[in-house]
Amino acid sequence: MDLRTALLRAAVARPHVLVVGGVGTDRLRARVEQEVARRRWPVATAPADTDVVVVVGRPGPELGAVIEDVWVGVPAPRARVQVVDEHEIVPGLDETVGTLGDLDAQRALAGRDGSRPTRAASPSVDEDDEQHEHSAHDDHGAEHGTEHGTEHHHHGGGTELPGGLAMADLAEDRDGLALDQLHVPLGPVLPEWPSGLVVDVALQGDVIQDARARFLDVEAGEAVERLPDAARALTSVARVLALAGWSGPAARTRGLRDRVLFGEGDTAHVADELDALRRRVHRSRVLPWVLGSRKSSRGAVLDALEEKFSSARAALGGGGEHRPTTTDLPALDARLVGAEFAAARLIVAAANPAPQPALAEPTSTEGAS
Amino acid sequence: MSTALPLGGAALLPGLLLAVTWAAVAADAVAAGRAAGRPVSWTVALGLPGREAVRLLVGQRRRTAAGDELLRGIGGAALLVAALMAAAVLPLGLRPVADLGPGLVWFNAMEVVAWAAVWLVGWGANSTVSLIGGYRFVAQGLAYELPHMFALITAAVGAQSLRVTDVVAAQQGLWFIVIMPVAFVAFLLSAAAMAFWGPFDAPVGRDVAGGAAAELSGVDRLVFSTGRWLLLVASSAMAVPLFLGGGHGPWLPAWAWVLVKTLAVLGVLIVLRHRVPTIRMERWTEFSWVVLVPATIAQALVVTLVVLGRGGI
Amino acid sequence: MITIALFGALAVTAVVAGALVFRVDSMARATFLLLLSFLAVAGLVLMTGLHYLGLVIVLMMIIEMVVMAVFMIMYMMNPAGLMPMSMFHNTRGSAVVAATTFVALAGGALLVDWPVRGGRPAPDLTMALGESLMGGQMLTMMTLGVTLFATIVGTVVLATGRGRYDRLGDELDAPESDDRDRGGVGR
Repeated sequence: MDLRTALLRAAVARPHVLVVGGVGTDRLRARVEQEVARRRWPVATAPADTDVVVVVGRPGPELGAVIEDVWVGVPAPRARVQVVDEHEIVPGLDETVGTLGDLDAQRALAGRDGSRPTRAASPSVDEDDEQHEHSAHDDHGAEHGTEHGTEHHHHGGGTELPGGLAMADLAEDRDGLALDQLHVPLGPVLPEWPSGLVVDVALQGDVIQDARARFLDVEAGEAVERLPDAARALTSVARVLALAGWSGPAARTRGLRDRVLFGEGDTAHVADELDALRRRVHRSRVLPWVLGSRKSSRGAVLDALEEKFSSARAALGGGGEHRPTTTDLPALDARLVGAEFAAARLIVAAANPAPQPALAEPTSTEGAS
Repeated sequence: MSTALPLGGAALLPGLLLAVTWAAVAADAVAAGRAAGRPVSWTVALGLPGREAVRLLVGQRRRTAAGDELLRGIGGAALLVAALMAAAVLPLGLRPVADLGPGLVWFNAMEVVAWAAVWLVGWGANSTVSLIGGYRFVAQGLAYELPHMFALITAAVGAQSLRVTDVVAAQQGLWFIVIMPVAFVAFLLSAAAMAFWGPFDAPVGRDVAGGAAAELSGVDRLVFSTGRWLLLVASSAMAVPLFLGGGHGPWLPAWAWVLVKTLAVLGVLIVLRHRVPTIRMERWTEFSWVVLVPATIAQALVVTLVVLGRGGI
Repeated sequence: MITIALFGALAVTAVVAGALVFRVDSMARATFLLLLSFLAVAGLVLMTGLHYLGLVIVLMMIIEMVVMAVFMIMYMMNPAGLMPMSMFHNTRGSAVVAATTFVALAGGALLVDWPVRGGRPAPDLTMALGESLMGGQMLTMMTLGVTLFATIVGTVVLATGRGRYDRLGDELDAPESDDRDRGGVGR
């Protein structure tokens, strides 16, 4: 027994963390990410890779349902903690280490929903949810109205769908061949993904044929807390770099953002480092090659990256001359159609859409709900 | 002519590979820490592989609804087994575990198993991102495989033999990297690509939430990532007998030279990974077919002419 | 004894895996069962001492089957076999063809006197194979190679939706193509 406990403790000393937050939790989320990075805990790529789920803020009903699904997919030993205030972060994370290393607690957790059926002989709601979560790590339970959601929640009634899963549709691809088409939601639990965003896409292969973006738990026109311009731009830069597979500079950008948000007084130094980072991005010959030349359609990501740098720099310098451009959801949808998965991820990260404040363009959230 | 190692070598090989892998994982953690501006000390990094392995061993295995567990399991195991089998023709010193006549073809055939393995793991999970990851690897395979084969062929032409020990013996005087630098570069890039490593890690990329490995947990993930690391180690170790003179070198015994050179190649690949962003397949495919394939064919031609000029064949 | 056991195991694997291809619903399983069958055959070739050929079969079949899996899944409805389906067409005709072929081959194997081996195998079979291919069989291999290559190029030319004249203009003088997804060389 002692050996098992010791083994368990050793196994969970460096847990992989999945941070989940809804719209408007970005500041607290950044704090959590900072603390996780300070502890040198890795950030999980997917629920299957997760030991600790950190729920940031108070999720609304839609996100709450998503988090339950994610939790079902997290393998034991596991722990979950909710953080609604900055002061709860450190004790909260400390507590998860205890939970992870506690054999009895893990048994209790595993006993509740750890038994996972292999192949769905009889469709059950649990499996249905599980599949959703597996198919794109994300939301569904709470979707109403979308074709996808309804399909999945009306299984079992005479349909022969295995495991309650819908089969792929057929649709013409861009060469005119009739091939399988999947309807999957992207987000809100994906690495480097904007908080609370879900894009319901029709995927053919890895090409997005139709996209519809929306925010979870946001009423149209509702004002939502957002990060200051500099931090917001840096978050976006960090996400683009991380998705481009450049994790080192991405982590440095994130460090800069944290200092902009929480490090008081040394912004001059931050500006210097930002310039250095920008020079490094400019110097890279592979990055433009990967992101696309300026002329082509994907050059938009490169331009957006540059724009974010300028925006962050302007905000840091105190000069208000640079007004950051914001992308609304219909515009995002339009740009996603026809993009490949990898390109789409970059487009979303670069656009970094946010629910508009009440006075600005009421169409932005309406079009997607 | 050297012959195969005694049977003990076969038992030794996995241990050796794992030891080198352990060091490579630690070096990667250090390099990642440095790139991110959050240094990781070597003592912590050296404990890391063990820590992660225990974490995955303790971790629960997870299954997905309507997934194909059988194929997924076969895929993960095949990756690991293929990496070990590919390493069988690696001379540890001057003698490999199995000194096969067509040793280069053996290595190539084993390394190609990764195509099937990664695709199967991606397919078996019945998950969108995982499947995208699996398909990405197939696309990547179509891009890297031809330059890789031409690089192997060039080394074989230089030595006029498909036997790995003959290739090493042919480099007693001059390392092949000197007369076939293009083939060496192509081999190095394809070694990274076949282990979906470094700038070629799109199949397990962050944008697809871990791609082919997205749904793996517990032992499944341990097997898959160990297989990937072993493949990386085996393929970079293969660069040593093919292009870097194998165990030949002054002062040190042959096995030490092999070890030093292997670690050096691994070091280059680890640095490459942290310096260069991920290259997406559509970019790499065109570059590979339009630039690398002609370049490696020209390289093979040049080497053939040199061999003929020296009165070979 | 071990040789016979190994031969038997490989032969049975090849046949059983080949038959199972038609019993499973999943395209992925069907493809990889076919691969298993081919790998067993490669094992048989290896047993005859033709190491190079055996390994080349392994190499080519893995690549081929993975590529085939992509197409099978692309074009079949229900590729994962989650819904019951049948892959049989014209069962009666194919049964007749299969039975006739089997009887002819098995009859031939049983009835015809087996030849007696004359001469001995070359010391290095790989080298002998290479010399044969590049010597006596040179013309055959060159013809085959060029034909195959021409077929591949021809198929691609016929199948492609957009050739270089569509992408770069009639004079091929456009500085950049108007492709939506661009490759890595910048044309």
